Amino acid sequence: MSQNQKPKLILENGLRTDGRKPDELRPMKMEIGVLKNADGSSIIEVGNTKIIAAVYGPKEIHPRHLALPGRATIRVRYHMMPFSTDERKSPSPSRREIEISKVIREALESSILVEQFPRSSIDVFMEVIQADAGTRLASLMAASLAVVDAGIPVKDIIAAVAVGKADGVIVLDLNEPEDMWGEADLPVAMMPSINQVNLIQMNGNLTPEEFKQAIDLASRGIQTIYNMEKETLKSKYIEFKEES
Amino acid sequence: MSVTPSNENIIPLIKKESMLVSLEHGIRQNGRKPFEYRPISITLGYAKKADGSALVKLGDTTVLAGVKLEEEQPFEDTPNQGNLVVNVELLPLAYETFEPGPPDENAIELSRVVDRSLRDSKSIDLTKLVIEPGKRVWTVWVDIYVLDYSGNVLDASTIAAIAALYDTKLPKLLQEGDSIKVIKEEKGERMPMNYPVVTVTVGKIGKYLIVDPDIEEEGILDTRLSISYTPDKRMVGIQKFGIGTFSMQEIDQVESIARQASAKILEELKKQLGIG
Amino acid sequence: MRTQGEITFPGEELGVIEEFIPGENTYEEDGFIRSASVGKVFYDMINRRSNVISTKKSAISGLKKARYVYGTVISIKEDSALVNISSIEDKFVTLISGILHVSQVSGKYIETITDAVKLGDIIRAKPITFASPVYLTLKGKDLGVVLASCSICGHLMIKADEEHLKCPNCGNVEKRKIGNYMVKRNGS
Repeated sequence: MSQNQKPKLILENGLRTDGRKPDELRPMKMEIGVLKNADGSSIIEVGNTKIIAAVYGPKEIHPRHLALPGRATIRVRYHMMPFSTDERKSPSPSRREIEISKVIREALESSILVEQFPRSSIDVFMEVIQADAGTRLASLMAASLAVVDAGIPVKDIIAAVAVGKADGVIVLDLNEPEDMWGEADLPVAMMPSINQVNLIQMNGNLTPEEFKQAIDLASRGIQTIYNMEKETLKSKYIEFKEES
Repeated sequence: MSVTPSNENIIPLIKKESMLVSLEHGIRQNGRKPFEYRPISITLGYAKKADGSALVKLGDTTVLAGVKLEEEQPFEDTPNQGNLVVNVELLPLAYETFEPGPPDENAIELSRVVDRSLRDSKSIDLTKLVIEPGKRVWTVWVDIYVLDYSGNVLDASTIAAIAALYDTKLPKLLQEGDSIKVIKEEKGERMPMNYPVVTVTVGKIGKYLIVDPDIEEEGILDTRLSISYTPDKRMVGIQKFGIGTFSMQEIDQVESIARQASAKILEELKKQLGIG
Repeated sequence: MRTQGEITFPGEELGVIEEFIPGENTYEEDGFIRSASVGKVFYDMINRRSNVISTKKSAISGLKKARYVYGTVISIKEDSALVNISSIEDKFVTLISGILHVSQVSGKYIETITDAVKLGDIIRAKPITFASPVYLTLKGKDLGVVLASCSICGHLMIKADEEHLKCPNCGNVEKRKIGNYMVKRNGS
């Protein structure tokens, strides 16, 4: 998107630039167990965003001085492939990628039962293959599925979606123009079964009423995504049972 | 500084004798014949934001290559041709012992070997990547990411690079009076490719030679030799990996084995990429 | 409570703390026992534990079920050997530290640990503890040294008899606790 003028985000017919209704999610695809070497892995596609994630561990930590006596150390890297964006991105980590790695690690740590693996490490790697709004949330979900795929016990699967405001309308699951030109961007990640939020950020402007409305919309979106995640895990589980 | 690697897998060492016994009977432990290549599968356009991309599976080895074009000034010594940059990264996703961070010696060696094969074969017609002679040319960035490491990533990387390049379209150019405008949003001509190039790796275990070693075999190889070929059977790059040695006779043997394998892979590539 | 054998997902409620103790792949929060994994619900009525039988085991928990691991002896202490474990059964893992105590070598009396293993030997052992460092045992017919080099000339040794290895290069004979020894022929 190289136009410098703000486009109309909500068209006359009330639909968004990609033809979705304000409370409609982008099409999603999930798959787990996609890599052979990794202990757990997944691919998630959310609209045009595509992420691959892999988990190694729990394993003995090297170097040893990083070991924590009562719990596992989680190491997370979020990285964008140079060809994932419109302009080529340098492969060395940017400040943005470093921040996102930290935000994802903290969200992920709140879901993993880290006390079960003292003095060990769990390594989580995410690669953005295509970036088109919502990469941090898609990466977090991909990571969460990969962790479950690795057989690591977690409190809950993480489901996440961004809500925001575009041309005065509260919209679900922002696309790239809405992310860039909208009035607010509010990514939310949750562990729905235990009703805990483990990631929330916002940039932009919202009134408290709009915020409440946005959070409600996000919860509904998250529930739909959560069910899809369960379906993905279930189909793999059944496949596994048939094999054995 | 380059250091003798440690933390290698010891399983292949234990299995070495039984692998050699199998080879005596003309079969490998993975069930392949000595000169049999693993099946290749190519998915073009896997990364939609790249100007061209390909996901290549060589057995369980998975490699993703993406091509990006950037407008740049030409180098002073080559004012009338575009630039090519190849970068291979061994992602920490791909294997237990791979760490995040800048490319290590293995990744850099891979990048340079793939780069030389593409460049010296004249597989890409760099002279057609000029927008305005002496002033504006295309830089072709070929980024190759190893996602799953199951041996012989070099051959897979060359295939991925070639497939992604064949998948690439240049941005559209528009003549406006004296100047040429680049319209990035619209695709124009295909990447000026002359022909594909392939790399074939032959490993040596004891006195036996095997084509396309998998990860367990790589663990016990004495050494391996990789040779790149064009469709008219020109050799356009050689690299020897590993600590062991070849005799001159063995090198001759390797060359003829690799040449025969290259013809098959090129045929497979032409079929999957739909090129003549 | 759920039905026995039902598929469950992380986060799902399995019972309350008054009824059960949280067992394998479950956790307790605010008085509720919830699943921590994808798998089948299994209520152990005798011990009053609620478990989830998961399809996939994580690498370290794989140690519990492992029949054997492979590792390299990296140093010898007075009565024990330090081992770098690098694979659980045949799956390559990043190094786990292991310790082999002389009392765990065999049922018979062994004078020193070097009568069983030497520096650089690759051994097949069974883990007896499951957090790092992992304690190992060589008690068992197929457990012991599987690959060793001659401590004089460095040549790969071959099996001489049930307790000795022989160097085909210099003729040196050394004592070992031998497992499924891999090299039977000269010169491989």
